[in-house]
Amino acid sequence: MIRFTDVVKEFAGPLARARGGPVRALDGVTLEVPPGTALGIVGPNGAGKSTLIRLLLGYIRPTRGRVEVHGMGPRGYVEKHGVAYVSELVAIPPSWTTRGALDAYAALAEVEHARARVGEVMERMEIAEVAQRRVRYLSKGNLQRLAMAQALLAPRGVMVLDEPTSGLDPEWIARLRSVVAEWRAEDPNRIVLIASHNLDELERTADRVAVLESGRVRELLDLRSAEGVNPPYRLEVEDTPGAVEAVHEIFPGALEEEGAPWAFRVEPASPREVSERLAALLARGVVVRALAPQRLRLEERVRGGAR
Amino acid sequence: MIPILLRQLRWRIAALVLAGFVFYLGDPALHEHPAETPGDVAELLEPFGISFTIANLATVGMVALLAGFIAADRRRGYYRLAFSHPTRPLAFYGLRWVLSLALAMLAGAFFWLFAQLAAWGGIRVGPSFLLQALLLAVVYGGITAFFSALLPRGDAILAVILFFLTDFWLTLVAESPVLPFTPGVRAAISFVLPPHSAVSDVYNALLSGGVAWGAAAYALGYGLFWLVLAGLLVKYREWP
Repeated sequence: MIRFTDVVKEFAGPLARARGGPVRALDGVTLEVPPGTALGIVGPNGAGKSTLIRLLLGYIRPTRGRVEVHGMGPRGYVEKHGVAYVSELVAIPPSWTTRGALDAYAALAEVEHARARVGEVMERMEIAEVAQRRVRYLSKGNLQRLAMAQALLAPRGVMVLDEPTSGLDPEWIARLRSVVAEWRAEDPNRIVLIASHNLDELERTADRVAVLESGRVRELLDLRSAEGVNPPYRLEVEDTPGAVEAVHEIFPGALEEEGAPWAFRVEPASPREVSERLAALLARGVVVRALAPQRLRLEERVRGGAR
Repeated sequence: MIPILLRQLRWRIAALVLAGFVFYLGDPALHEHPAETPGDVAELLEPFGISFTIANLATVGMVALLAGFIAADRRRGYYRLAFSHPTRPLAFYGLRWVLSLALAMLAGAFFWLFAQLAAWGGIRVGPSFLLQALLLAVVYGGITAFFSALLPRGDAILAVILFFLTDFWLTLVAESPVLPFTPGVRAAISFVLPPHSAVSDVYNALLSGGVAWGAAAYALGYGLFWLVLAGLLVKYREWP
């Protein structure tokens, strides 16, 4: 369990004082992330996403409130167990080679059979070809994959990804998704936190999404709720005799759309029920033009809340 | 971890070896043949040359090996990925500091052995003179660590400036009786600056076959004081 309790973080360095006072980056954030959860963190620039992650890694301390990772202070947890972390700005000494960097991180992570493990993660992230290339000559995509590779070096209970798809092409974005899914599948109690502007990707990866705004959690969206799993559907059929009656009979409670007499909103209880009723409709000779879930996309939900 | 750190330090170690050659070539004591110089001068020149050259080499080595070792990580953000692994920053930088001290002293020991063999064909100055090198390495290692933990850059340069400033100040105090400072202010400035006088006291005691334990402890304490401050900064200061 990761727990933020009424966390306030103010930055009050000399610059902040010169600008007229401390900058409040987080303003009373309370958030719980149970084991087995993938939590997305979204919000505009300056909303406090990076501050939240830095607090979680123990690089900074809250001005007020408390941060706990499995009952421990964040720095204590990280120093004892480690966190699989990919930072937004991947900073690795440019003179290091890909292999050398992974060797160094494996030593820090105290990985057993480090050489073999480094080889495995390089193969997994397909960076073995650039093993001897210096970090300064890596493309942004390769650098991001190197950062992901170091995060996978050792088994961890918590993964924190800060803009992990930055610089990745669509193919690698999809692969990263499967890497994260595999990582979660290895232990169902693992926790993933993903801060990202890529809402489509978050929708595929996260179970819940915390929407940050001006240092506060504006909304906590549950993407795996009943509404998310069993959304209403939009059913459109051909204008054939008896079609409307058949729809009303097979989908009780179907609502006709205004201005579109052959389109309906139907609310089946489960995906299985959708299939069964659709089969019945087709058996009655109704021609189905379209059947699409009417789930609000994450982007719409995030923007909808902001209005 | 040590092999990884050594690999990362390889260019600095190479620079240290090069510095050893330069020190050897630049030190007149190692090239004056005793037969060509008056006996009493030669007697003084040999230990003086070798001990101060070794001390300077160890100091240069320590500063060069530690330059930016915390500051660069903080400034460039290298710590983010590194310390997400189960590593205590204090232990990591502590290991780096101890390793640097070992390398600096190793360079001093090699110089002590091979410079004498090359210059004189035998060992004339005993290994006890390495104590002076150890003290200066700890002093400047502590100072560099403190500046590195405190400032975003310039730690090594500040340490070097302090070295010359201290020498300049001691020369001024010794040779200018009309300094515009009261004795109390002089003493305070000398107290704050690195303890070159104490290290000289240790050298003089070694010349007479003894050890100035008090002076050695003072110099050691001075270096460790700044090192502990650096450690506190690493432990309690937030990361950028």
